Amino acid sequence: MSAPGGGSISAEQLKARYVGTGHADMSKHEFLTNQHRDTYASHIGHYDQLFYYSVAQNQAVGRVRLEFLEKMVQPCGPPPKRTEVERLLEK
Amino acid sequence: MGPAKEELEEADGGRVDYHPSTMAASKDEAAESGDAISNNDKSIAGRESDYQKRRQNRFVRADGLPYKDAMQAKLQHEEEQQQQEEAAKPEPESGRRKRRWDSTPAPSSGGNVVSDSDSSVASGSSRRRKKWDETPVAASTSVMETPVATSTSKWDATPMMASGVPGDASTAKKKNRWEATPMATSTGGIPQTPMTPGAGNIAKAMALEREMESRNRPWTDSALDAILPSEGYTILAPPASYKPLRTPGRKALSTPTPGMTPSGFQMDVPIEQQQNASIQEIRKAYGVPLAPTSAEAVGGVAAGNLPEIKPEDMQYFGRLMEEGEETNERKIMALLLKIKSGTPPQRKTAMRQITDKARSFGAGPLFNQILPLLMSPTLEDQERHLLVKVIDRVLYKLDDLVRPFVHRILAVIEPLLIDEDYYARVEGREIISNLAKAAGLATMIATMRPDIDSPDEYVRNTTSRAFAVVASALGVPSMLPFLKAVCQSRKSWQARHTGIKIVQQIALLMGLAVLPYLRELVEIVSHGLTDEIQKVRIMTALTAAALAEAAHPYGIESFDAVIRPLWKGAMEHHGKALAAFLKAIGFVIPLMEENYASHYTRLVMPILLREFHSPDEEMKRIVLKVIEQCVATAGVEPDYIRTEILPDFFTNFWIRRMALDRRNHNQVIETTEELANKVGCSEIIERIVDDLKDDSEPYRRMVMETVDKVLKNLGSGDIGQRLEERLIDGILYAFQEQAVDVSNAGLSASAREGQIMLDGFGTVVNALGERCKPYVKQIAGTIKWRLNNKSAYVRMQAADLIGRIAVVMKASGEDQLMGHLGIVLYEYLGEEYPEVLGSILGALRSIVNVIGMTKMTPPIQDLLPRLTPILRNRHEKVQENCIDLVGRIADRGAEFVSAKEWMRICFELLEMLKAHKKSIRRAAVSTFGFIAKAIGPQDVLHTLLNNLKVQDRQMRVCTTVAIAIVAESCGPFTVLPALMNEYRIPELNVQNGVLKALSFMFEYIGEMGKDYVYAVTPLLEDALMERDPVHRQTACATVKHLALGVAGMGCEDALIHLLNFVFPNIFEESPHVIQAVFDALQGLMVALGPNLLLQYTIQGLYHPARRVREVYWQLFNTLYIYGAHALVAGYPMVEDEGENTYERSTLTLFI
Repeated sequence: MSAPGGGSISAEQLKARYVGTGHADMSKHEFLTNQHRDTYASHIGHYDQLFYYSVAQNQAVGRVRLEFLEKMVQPCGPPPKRTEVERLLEK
Repeated sequence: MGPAKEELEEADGGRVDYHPSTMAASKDEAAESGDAISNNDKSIAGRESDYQKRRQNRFVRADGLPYKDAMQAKLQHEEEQQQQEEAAKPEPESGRRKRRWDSTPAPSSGGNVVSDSDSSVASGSSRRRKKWDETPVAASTSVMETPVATSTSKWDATPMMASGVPGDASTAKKKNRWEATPMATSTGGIPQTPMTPGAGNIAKAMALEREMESRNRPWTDSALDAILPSEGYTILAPPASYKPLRTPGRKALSTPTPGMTPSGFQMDVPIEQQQNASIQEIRKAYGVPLAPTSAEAVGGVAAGNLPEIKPEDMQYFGRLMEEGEETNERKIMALLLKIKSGTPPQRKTAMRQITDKARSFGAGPLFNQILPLLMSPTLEDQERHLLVKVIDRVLYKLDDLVRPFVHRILAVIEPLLIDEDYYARVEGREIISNLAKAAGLATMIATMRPDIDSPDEYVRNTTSRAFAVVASALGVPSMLPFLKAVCQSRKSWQARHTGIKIVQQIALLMGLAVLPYLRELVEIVSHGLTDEIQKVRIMTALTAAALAEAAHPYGIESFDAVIRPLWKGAMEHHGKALAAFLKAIGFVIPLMEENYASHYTRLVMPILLREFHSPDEEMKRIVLKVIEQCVATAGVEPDYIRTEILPDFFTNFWIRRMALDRRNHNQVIETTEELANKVGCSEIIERIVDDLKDDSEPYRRMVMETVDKVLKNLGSGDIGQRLEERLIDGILYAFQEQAVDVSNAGLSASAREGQIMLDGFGTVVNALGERCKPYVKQIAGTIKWRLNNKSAYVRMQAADLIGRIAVVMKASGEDQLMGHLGIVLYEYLGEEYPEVLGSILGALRSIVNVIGMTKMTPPIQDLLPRLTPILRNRHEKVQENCIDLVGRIADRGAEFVSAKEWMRICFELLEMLKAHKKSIRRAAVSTFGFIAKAIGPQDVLHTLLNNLKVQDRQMRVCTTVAIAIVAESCGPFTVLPALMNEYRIPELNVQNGVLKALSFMFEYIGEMGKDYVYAVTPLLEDALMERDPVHRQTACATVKHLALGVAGMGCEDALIHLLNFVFPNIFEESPHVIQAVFDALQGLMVALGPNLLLQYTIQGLYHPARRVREVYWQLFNTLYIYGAHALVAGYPMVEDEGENTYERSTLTLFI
């Protein structure tokens, strides 16, 4: 994997620099949590989008923003409990 | 480095500075005194100065002594030393040089009063020789007498050849058994005639039995070890119930006698059964790879695995040759031998193993072997580097286990800090800093404290340097209390001296990083300026200088404590001390604000002016430097300089004698330059210009260099008519009167000096510009005359000068003269010295550049054909200048030459593509472009396409670049048909060349590529489906450049089509191919948007096979890094699952 400036970077560095990147063992929940967070970040970053959502939901812009920010903590709910099979596989 | 050199170094600010002249002198000394080792040039000891050799004499205390004992041991040692000296004193010292600390200091030397309380010690002990005068061998005995553990005696011993003759063991093993005298053992396989005829039957029976026995003999362990892998096998003990068959009756015949040796044919005894077969031989016989396995490499001391032991290393590694059990010691020894003299792979594995096992080997066994090796007098640079590396690695692993060995490690590593080799010094610092981090500050201080007031200057010098490294490793603040205590030591002046020197070294080492502690450091040393011992005062002044230099331009407020004593001291001192004080003043003044700087400069100036007359060279240099520093500050007025400084300055320093020593010479020039910056250019040049006609050549050169620098800085604005004439007159004289080395041998030797003249001449002429017009004829005359000189260097210099002044000649309107010079140069194109020919070509080019193609004489149509054969010259300078000139003509005046001639040049240019120098290849490639533009692409292209078939890779690569350039300059449509047609040739190199040319072409033409996408798509399709990976790789590179070029130009359909051919290649293994594939995908990502590629990617992110998933995630990460934002709109919808909501509901909101 190479960084934008050229030169290769290790997996940990990659993850540290771009938190949304993934790897072969990423669970569905993790991947989708990243997607949701990126989505909210994008909404919050574009005022016009934020405005659009505030109109659609009939709420103040600031409140919509706060809502999105709070949702970013666990956008898809808590991580699913591992099943018996998964736990066995891990060992 | 004798005492004189030490002083000199101290005055120089304690830097390790080796002036060539002194180095040469000390080397001569060494040669004269017939040093035993100096004939061995490669070894470090061979090139060491006397001063550096003192490392051999260093007293090393036993390991791991607590601080108290260490101090005691040191005192005891010193006492013994003194006794020895006392004993040696009455002896007549014929011609021996006295060491400074050996003699009672002369009262005249002021500060050097060492309290000699022990001088009354009776010299009752038997007369012993002085330790320093003894040969290293004897030294070992003298150390043995000190009450130190005997293990330390190794340090002082010279390596002696191990008593065992090294050759024996190895040759015995290597000996072919056919060469050996037949031994009457059962294995001796030499056929012999039976001694008694008629004994045939018995003999036969016996022979048979013997053979059966030898063939059925159980395998030895070593033979089995040799051919079986060491991992995965265990040796099982035989069952307890097993009893080998012992029936002596069956072995009736087994006692060998000479008569029993069989006659007739006999098969060889298998190699593994021969007693003296080495493991390597057994392996060879059984086809087991000869490289040692990892397990063996650690312990394997069998001779076959080890590199050859050099005779001088025998004393360290000799024991490896003996058989013995595998102790840790032997393992370490084997590893060290491999590191020291093994092949690179051996070294690498050994290094890794010794690092990995460092903790299990333990610090003691490791250092007991490494450190003596490092003190070996035959050590070479490379070996020392490797051993130091071992210490570094091992240190890191051992961490706090090294504590007991800190002193011994330091004793070995500290000499590196004053090595003449920069990298050795850096290495030494690195080790000491790691050591400090591993052992901790307390241990370091406790270990080095006893050395701080050592009577040996060498020990104190190295210790202070080591302390500075420790301070920079562990942080200066933690050292401050200790430093403060040491610098205030009442007991010994040596401790104060060393403490202050540590501060100096910290300043030198850390530079601007001392700023946070500057005030503390200055205060710690400040009292030293008024110390009773002169050496301490000198060192303090030098330390103040080093601190001020490091802090420049900040931190003047921290120097409050020293400013008054510095200036006061400068009034009171003389000689060396004054030099040190002046040096400090010189470095402090630039930190000051304007008015203070002015005030303090005026205060010190009388002293400086007084010292102008000093006969001491060192003092002269320091005075010059201080003048330079004072003058550079803003507060000093030009008028003051003019009236107060300049007259004396010129009478004292602008004299011939100053030009002779390089350091004086440079310092005078620097100071004069600085003065000129203040008082103006003409003021200075006025005074020295007539010296351009001086009799002494070095002096003329010094003047020329100064004129060059001054005019470069200030221009010729204030140079009057009269001065201008004198200046031109002077430079012409100086230029013509250069000493000529007719032998031509000095082509490069005289280069530096000649360069000064050349630069000076060029600068003066260019600075005067059009004002030179009246003199141009005269200058040209000189040049013409010198172009005809016998000496190659003079001709070269003349040609170079034309290059420098061509622009000015043009500006003065001397076109006709330049044309004339052009013809003269043209006539000299037959020059045989390539260096000169290169310069002539360069001069021609500069003339063509300024007067243009049309006015050029000789006319271009005559000039170019003359250049064609020169292109064949292999000399780099000729090639470079020639191709530049040809390229210039092709660019600007191609129409003057026939197409046929250009084609000829094309062929010559192909050879140029092989040049080593990149600038030549680049010039050649771009010349192809100019030529193609001039004569049309067809012929050039034909030549280039043919060139794709050659073997040489570099040629092909350059050819493809040239094709791409031709395509760029003449339009792709002129090249593409022929190029694509060439792809039909079923030849790997040609097809790849075509693809590469396409790749470069699309890179160069950028968005112009949109017109050609559809044309090349079928070709790329074919290449991307090719079995040969290089085809696909190159095609991928083409796709990348194509996609990047046409991004946003509406070619998405073709690009998606290409993507479908690129994508299956993502599972390629070869690094180059996979890199090219990912590059192509990135290019396509730019052109098609990341979401399209995301659709391709999503299918594989959760593939059951990990190898597949990994590749897809890598691709996803690339998309994410470059286009995370865009991907938000492209992620697939996922259904909720249990308590997790995966739907991104905001995206479905709709007004």
